[in-house]
This record gives sequence, structure tokens and C-alpha cells, in this order.
Amino acid sequence: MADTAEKKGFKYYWGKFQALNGSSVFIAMIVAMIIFEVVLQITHAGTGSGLIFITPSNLMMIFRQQVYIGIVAFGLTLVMLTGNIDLSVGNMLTFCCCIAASVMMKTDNAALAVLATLGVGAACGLFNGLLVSYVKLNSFITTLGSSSIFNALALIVSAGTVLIIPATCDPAFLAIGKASFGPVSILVVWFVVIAVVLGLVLSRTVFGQRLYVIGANPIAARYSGIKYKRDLTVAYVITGLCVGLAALVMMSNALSSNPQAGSGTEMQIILCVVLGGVAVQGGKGSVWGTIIGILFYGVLSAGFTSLHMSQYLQWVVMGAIMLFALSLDVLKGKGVKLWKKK
Amino acid sequence: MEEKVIANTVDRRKQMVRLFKDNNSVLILILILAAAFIVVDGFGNGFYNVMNYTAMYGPVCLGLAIVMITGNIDLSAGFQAGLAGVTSVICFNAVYRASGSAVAALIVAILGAVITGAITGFINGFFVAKIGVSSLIATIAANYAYQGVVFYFAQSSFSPDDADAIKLIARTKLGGMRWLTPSLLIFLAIVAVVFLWMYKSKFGNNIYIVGDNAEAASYAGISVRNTVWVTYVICGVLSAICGFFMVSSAGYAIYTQGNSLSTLTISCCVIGGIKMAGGKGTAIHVLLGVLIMRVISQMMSAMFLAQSYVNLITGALLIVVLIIDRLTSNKATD
Amino acid sequence: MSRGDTFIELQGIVKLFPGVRALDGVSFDIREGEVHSLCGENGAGKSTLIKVMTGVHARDGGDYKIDGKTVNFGSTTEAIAAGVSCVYQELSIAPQLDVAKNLFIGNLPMKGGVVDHKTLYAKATEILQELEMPISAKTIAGDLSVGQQQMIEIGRALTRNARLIIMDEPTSSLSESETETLFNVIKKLVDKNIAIIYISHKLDEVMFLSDRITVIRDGQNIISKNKDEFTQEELIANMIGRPLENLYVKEPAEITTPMLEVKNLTRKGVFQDISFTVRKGEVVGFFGLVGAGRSEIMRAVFGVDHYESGEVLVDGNRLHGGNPAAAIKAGIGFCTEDRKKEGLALPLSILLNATVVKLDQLATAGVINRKKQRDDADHYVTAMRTKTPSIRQAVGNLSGGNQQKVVLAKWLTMTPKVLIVDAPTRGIDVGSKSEIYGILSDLAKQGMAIIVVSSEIEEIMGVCDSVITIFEGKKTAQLAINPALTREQVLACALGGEYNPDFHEELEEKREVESNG
Repeated sequence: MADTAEKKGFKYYWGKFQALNGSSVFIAMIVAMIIFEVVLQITHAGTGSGLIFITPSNLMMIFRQQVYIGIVAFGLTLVMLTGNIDLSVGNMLTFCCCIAASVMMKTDNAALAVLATLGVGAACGLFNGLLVSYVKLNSFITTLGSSSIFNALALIVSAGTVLIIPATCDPAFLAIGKASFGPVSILVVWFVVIAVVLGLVLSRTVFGQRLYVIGANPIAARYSGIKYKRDLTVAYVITGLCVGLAALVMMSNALSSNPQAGSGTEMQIILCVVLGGVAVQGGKGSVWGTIIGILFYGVLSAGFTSLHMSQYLQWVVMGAIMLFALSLDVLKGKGVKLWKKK
Repeated sequence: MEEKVIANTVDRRKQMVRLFKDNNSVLILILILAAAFIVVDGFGNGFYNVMNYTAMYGPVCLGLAIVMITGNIDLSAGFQAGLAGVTSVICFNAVYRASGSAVAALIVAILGAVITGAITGFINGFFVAKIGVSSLIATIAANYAYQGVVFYFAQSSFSPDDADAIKLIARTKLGGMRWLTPSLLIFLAIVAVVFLWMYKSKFGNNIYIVGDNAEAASYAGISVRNTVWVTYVICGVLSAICGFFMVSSAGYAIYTQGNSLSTLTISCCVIGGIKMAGGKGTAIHVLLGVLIMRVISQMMSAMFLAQSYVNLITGALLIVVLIIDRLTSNKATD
Repeated sequence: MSRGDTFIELQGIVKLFPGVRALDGVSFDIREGEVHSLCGENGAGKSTLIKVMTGVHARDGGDYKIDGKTVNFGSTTEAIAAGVSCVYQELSIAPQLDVAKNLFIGNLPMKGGVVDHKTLYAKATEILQELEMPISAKTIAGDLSVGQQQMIEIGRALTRNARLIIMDEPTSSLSESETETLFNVIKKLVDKNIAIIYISHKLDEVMFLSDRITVIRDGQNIISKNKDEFTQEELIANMIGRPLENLYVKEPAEITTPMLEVKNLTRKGVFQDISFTVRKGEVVGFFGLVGAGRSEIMRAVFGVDHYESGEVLVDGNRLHGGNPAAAIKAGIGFCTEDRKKEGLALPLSILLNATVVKLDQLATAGVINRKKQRDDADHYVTAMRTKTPSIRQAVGNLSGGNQQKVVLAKWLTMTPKVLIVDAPTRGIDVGSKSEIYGILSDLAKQGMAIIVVSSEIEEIMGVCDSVITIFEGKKTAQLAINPALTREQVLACALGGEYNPDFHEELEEKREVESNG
């Protein structure tokens, strides 16, 4: 008797876990980590002792690599929950990087750089948001267009050259991305803070819950007295702010901005968000899921790199794994059983 | 009877209004741009550039448009083209080295490109139509894979052994006119065939129904899955033709412009009047879209503007087209 | 085959879904050229039966014979080929294509391997004439009215030489005149020896049209008889399994001060000069044909649509137009006609759906008090007797009746002063209907001002204190509901009858009598 009760308990929690966003991706991530570890142990047999891949320093490195796209992805989660999309985040990131770099080069004033970058990010978000919500344009094409515009602006600001911030600049600016609290890098702090804040905003605040309703049924949202245009615009502005912050952190770390710094990352970011369980149609997903999506991507790319796989082959394998994961998700949603229980 | 006549004229008037609304943004733009273009540039070098560009990028735009008419999207078109270009070079070199015949090599190269496109299109279609992954996301993921393959192969073989032979298709001057190339004729033939096919054939008609109301289509016994799947294969093949034309035009495989090519393709389609929601548009719309896009960049280069301004104008134009569309659409209530 | 011969037979059809016996041995037969109605509550198994007949689902047991031969349809296409077509409740029109292509969808006439456009339009014109539709075959389908679109769907069945056409709730979004046209067309079809399976919640239509009626309950066929052998009461009793004493529940409530006052509201081309008052505890019905402007008036009052002139007062305070949020704040709740489109976010939980209009009040500084939210939702969902395992369920998983209760709960959580319900029982089974009427009656007793918009005259007369008739965007009359009022009188006013100036006196008298009694 006690045995069956215990089994039920497990089943119950297993069910609850599976219902969480991105649970299967989480499992896949753990499995991937173990596989990488095993393979590395075999290929490095006898050379060292202990774990190679699953070490605190390696995991921290994976984490740190994902911080920039992570911060943007959290913002984008808000927009995608409403059933819209922002394809311009990549070029927006480039543009914000150029702004941060050029302000620092010209004024060497960290406060001014922060204000300018966040301001430009918010303005970019506002531009998208106003067009999508108030003018009611298709978000895909609109942000494809604005992406082109931001790219052009970045080229104009940087005059097409690599902008380099002198390493002797305002130390306050360096602190944004290089400080650390004991063993914890400020990068990790940014990641966690933004995730927690936006996570709570989505799950606990009126604004966040409204975004879900807008995504699930925009007409019902209007009939429920939700000012969806305003809320949607705010979601875009938050995304813009996240992009601005990511640009600041990135610039503070790298101190140089090339004219293609963030271009193309939008694809990776959208993939991570969707992997984390945000439905493209909107109304479903969470920031917690997005974290898993981001980390999964990080684990894979770090793992393949440690196996000395070339960048090109990595793209192929990543693409295949992503397609596989997305397919599993769809099939699970359709109720297709992938293996039969005996 | 009288009532019926009145009803018919009302219908006809409605149709006229609709026709105008569907195309006016395109028509207005063409008029303005063509006038401006002729004033700025005349029929010299610019005309050649526009034609060359249209022949080269037209096929991929047409392929994407067919996918868009079903209400889906393909963000991997650019790298599908790139991949087909690289494959064609590999095929060309293999046959050329084995047989020494440039003509045989050229034929195999074209075949190789087309088959590659069909395969990549088939893969996209599998995930979108068969499995049911959102087309936007599925093609982003597939794009990664194609990108990897392209770069992997292009490292070793992107340059054909006989560049002059491969240039035959896109560089031969027919009748001594630089702009009249076999590739242009092939593209125009494709436009004509696709236009008629979509109007006349059962399958072509089904594409519109699937894009307009997929549920209705499936209730009527049309296989939505197969229709979408086939459109992806067509898109892959047309992308591949674009990829081959790019090789033929340059004399070596151009493989790095995948993502920007995808973006450009979508822009051409949207400016031509293809809707994201599907169910609308013809091959002629696509032809117009490509022409307009190239005329604009031609004008800009004639005015010695930097690439950044071309991007700026392209982006702004996309948004303007959407706004005009919104303003003229009769669904713009509340 | 001649008229009246049985050509389709179903014997002991069984359909299993995980955990449910959706169909549990249904048997009936269909004769050439008959109108055979299928009646049953929501969830009784009608839709499943239709899906088995049209090849959407494969049956798990029993026999399905056409012309004496057992058939196993693997798809709708095969069923269509065998002469079984269905006109679906959710319209399956391709809105950007023209009428001809919609008529011949999936069945385009071909010549030499290509689509024969000439034949296509010629044949389409023929069918349109047969359907008495004075439109061109080149009209874009999206420009047609809902009723016309439905006709196109029937026409579609004709292009496929259907022998049996299944109509699932065909009149649910039709106006009276469109319904009449539909009935004429049905008559024509029957004359052509085509059999019709007619499914409707409107029992008067069923009684009017049918040759035979089959009642389905809990996946079994309960009874199958000629129409003449049924009374409407008997029909209802068979459908719900117990005699229903009174479908309509209306207990007298104390009617006091004016709560909603609408003065000279006008929106050009939609409605003109609409004035009315709803008092605390009063239930006012709005009756008119589909397209008369009833729902549009309510949408304007609530602020979803704009209006050009006039004013709306809630509890004496003027409400600014065009702002649903302000209307909600002022205390107006609006259960819309189309709950799936306008009322609910189907993928989201009952919890969020039920509290969405009240989120601001449940929050301090924008942060939701989750316990309060849960308690609130729990309270109203339970009070409505909504059948659900948990309030965390997605609303989309509930049945139509329970979804409607969630919509009501959603507005009741904010304790509105004025509640507007538009077509509250559309597409809902008889049992839930009665429950919803009971809820409305209770709310009026608690002092809420209620407006019921409906195109079902019995409903209006069963649950309202008075009825306002709307004809072509104008208010034609306000009539007190009393035993003397006949449905013909109401209908006459809704068809453009004169406004009765003596009415207010009558109403005042009635109120005095009520308050004295």
C-alpha cells in the first residue's frame, strides 16, 4: 500500500513538473550536460581527475556567455507573450552599442552614456510599439523594417568603423560589466535581477497578467477594459530598455563596438524564447521558461566547443537539435505519444 | 430581374474598388519611382543593373511569395540559395574534372543546385507542414543548419574550375544587349509559368484557399499539409535557381549573404503586395516588388548615397507600405 | 430511388474517446428527401455523430450503411464523394476568394488539365439562381453577409451532388428573413429528393421543419418518431431526461431608482436617437431582428464603439464614450454575444478569466493579491455552479454552458451596477439555459439593473420586465411584459410598428401595482 502511495506522489509531482514551461528542455539540458561530461571523460581518459564539463567555473562561464542575449530575451518574452514579435532586437543592440561607445568616446561620462543608451533603447522600443499597437501594423514586417532602420542608424553613428572605448575611461562605466561581488560577477547579477524582476512582473502584476490576456485573445482583452495598445507599447519599450542594458553591459566588457555587434542575434534570441515554451501565437510562456531556453543554448554551444567542433558544424548540429526539440514540443502538445508505455 | 442587374453592377463596382485598393500602393510607388529613376539615371547603366538584379533575386522572391500566400514564411530562403550555389560549384567541378566537358558540368551544376533546393525545401516543409512547428521558428532553426553546411563546404570549394562556363547563364549578352541574359529570360519564363499555374491549375488555386482559410480547405478535402509542403519544395527550388544565378553572375559562390538575402526577399514580397496573412498576390506582384526594390537602390547609388541610407530607406519603405495598406484596407475599423 | 426510401442506416454506432463513450450505440436511418432533426443537449453526442457520418472520426463499433453497403470513410472527401455533405456551424468560407471559387472549393471544374473558368462561373451563376441569391458569382465572399455565406455553403453541397446535407445550427447567426430564405431553400432541396439532417437548439424551428425527429442523450438515441407524434414539451423532456417545469425563471424584484440612462444616442447609419432607462432591479429586454442594431447600441453604451451624439448616464454620472475601461469603472458589465471571440481568453485559466476585469482592484501598487484573486474567482465560479475540476483549468476545456457561466462570473466579480447580457443562451443546452435565467433573476432581486439582448422572443418574454423593440436602428416601442402581451405584438413592433406613447403610463401603473403588491 505504502508503495503505491509513494508512486502516486511521484507521478503527481512529475505531472506538475511536466506542466511547467520548458520542463522537457530542462531535462534535455541536464542530459546534454551529462553526455558532454561522459564524452569528455572518455576522450580525456587518464589525463585528469574529476569532472571536466560540469564544474562550477565552466558552468559560470556558460552563464556569463549567455548574459547579453539573456537580458534581451527576457524583454522579448513580454512582447512574444502578446502574440507579437520583435525582429529588430539584433540591430537595436548594435545601434545601442554604437551609442554607448560613441558617447563614452566623446564625453567619457558614464552617467550620460547610461542615460543615452537606455534612452535610445526605449525610443527604439517605443517606435516599434507605437507602430504595432496604435497603427496596428503586422509586427513581423514592421520590426523587419525597423531592424533595417536601426542597422542604418548604427552605421551612420559609427561611420561604419569599429568604435573603441579607451580602457582608461570612467571607472563607473567599467563597473557596469566588470565589477564582481565576491566570486559572483556582475554579469550574473544583471541576468538574475532582470529575470526575477520581469518574472515577477509577468506572474504577479496586473500589467503582466494583462499581457497574457492580450496574447490569448486581444478582442476579449478590449472588451474587458484592457488598454491593450498602451500595454503592448509598454512591452515593446521594456524590450528596448533591456536591449539598452544589454548593450551597456556588453560595451563595458568588450570596450569596442563593431558595426555588426548584435546583428543576427535576434534569430538566436527568438529561438531561445520559443524553446523555453513561449507560444508564437502568444498567451503562453514565462520568463522562467526563457531562462531554461537560454541556458540550454549556452550548454550546447559550450559543450560543442569543448569537443573542438568547428563553428560551422556547430550551427548544423544546433539547427538539427532545435528542430528536433521544437518538433517534440509540438507533438507533445498534439498528444502524440512518442513511446508507448508497457 | 431588374434587381439582379442592379446587384450585379454594385458587385462590379465593389470589385473595381477592391482591385484598386489591392494594388494602389504598388501602383503609386511604381509611378513615382519610375519617373524619378528615369530623371535621375536615364536608361544607361542603371537599366542593366536593375535587370541583372531582378533576374538574379527574382526567383527566390517568387518562391517565398508562394509560401507566403499559404500564410507561412520562410526565413531560410537566403541560405537555401547559398547552399544551392555552393552545391552547384561542387557538382560543376566534379563533372568538369572527370569529363572535361564544361557543358556537361554546367548542366549537372544546375541539376545539383535544383536538387539541393528541393531537398532543403522538403526539410522545411516536413517540419512546418508535417510536424506543425510554427513556420517562423522552424525556418529560423533550419536556417542555422543550412548556414553551417554552406560555410563548411564553401571553405574548400567555392570557386568553379571554369568560371567562364558557369557565367554563360547570367552573363551572355543576347543580341548584343548586356541586360538581355539567359538568366533574365529564364526568370521571366518562370514568372509566366508560375502566374498561369497559380491561376489555371487546381493545385495553384488550392494554394490560395489554404492561405485564405485552411480549415475550409481541409473540409473541402484539400490536403493542407501536402499543399504547404509542396510550396516549400517549390520555394527551395526557386531559391536554388537564385543561388545558381548568383554563382553564374559572379563566377564564384556567394555564400555569406544568407540572412540579409532572406530579409531582402521578404521586403520585395511585401512591397509587391504579398500579405503576411496569406491568400493574396500573384507572380506579377512579386515581379513588381523586386523591380521597385532595385529601382530604389539604383536611385540611391546614382545619388552616391551610402549603403546605410539604402537600409534606412528600405526599412522606412516597408513600414510605409504597411501603413498605406492599413489606411486603404476596409477592415481598418475602430 | 424514390422519395421516402431509406438509404442511410446507422446501427449501434459506438465512438470512444479517452475515458468517454461519446457514442454508445446510436441507431437511426435517413430517408430520401426528408428533413430529419437531431435534438439533444450540448455534449449529448450530436457533433460526434455528425463527425462519424462525415468521415472526420472513424467509428469504434456498429454499422454505417449507404444503399445497403457498409461504408468506412477515411476522410471528409470520401464522405462527400458518397453524397454526405455538411454545412458547418463555424463557417468555412475563404473570404478573399470569389463566390464561384468558394462554391466549387476543392472541386473546380477542369478541362484539359486546367481549371475551366468559363464553366466555373456559368455553373456558379446557375446555383446562385437556384438559391435565390441575387449576387454575381464574382463577388468576393468576404463581402457577403453571414446568411449569404451560409447559403454559399449549402450551394457547395449542391455542387457535389449531395444526397444528404447536414446542417449544424444553421440559423444561429441568421436574421429572420434570412432564416425564411433558408427554409425555402430547404424545401427546394427536399423536392429534389435531397435529405437534410437538421440540428438546432431552436425547437420551434425543429417542429416547423422536420418530417422526423431523433433525440439523442448521453450518446444514445432515446427516441425517433415522426414530428406529428411529438409535442414540444415531450421533446424537451426527452432531451434532458426529466420534465422541465419552467424553462424561464423570473421572480419579481423591487424596481427602484434609475441606474442606466441613455439619452438620444446616435451613431450615423447604425442607430438613431435611442433613449431608455433601466432601474435597479429591473430586467429590460432588447428585441429586434439580426442586424437591427441591438448589439451595436450595447457596444456603444459600453464604449467599444463610438457614437456621434447623445449621452450615457450611469447612476447619474455621465460616461465618456469610446472607453470600455471607463464603462467598467462606472459599473457596467457586458456579456457579449460571441463569448469565444469577445468574452474569453480560451487558453488561459478560469482564475484569470474570471478576475480579469477586477485585477486593478485586487492589486496594491500593481501587484496582485493572489489569495484575494483566488477567493474571488472561487466564490463566483462556485456560485454559478460551474462544472470544473479546478479554477486552474483552461477555459477552453469547458463546455459551452460552463464557459458562459465563466463569462457571467467574470462580470459579477466586479459587482456591476448595470449588467448587459447579449444572447446569453446562444448555443447552450436547455439545462444550462434555465440555470442562467435563474442567475439573472437572482441578480435583479439583489438590485442590479439588467439588459437582456436577444433574438429569441420567448426568452425576452420569459425573463424581462419590459421589452424595447428595435427596428432599423430605431426604437419602435417599449412594452411591459404581462400575460396580456402576445409575441405577435412584440414581433409587430420589431418589424417597424408604431411607437406607443401611452406606454410610459402603462409601465408606471404596472410598477405601482407591483410595489403595492
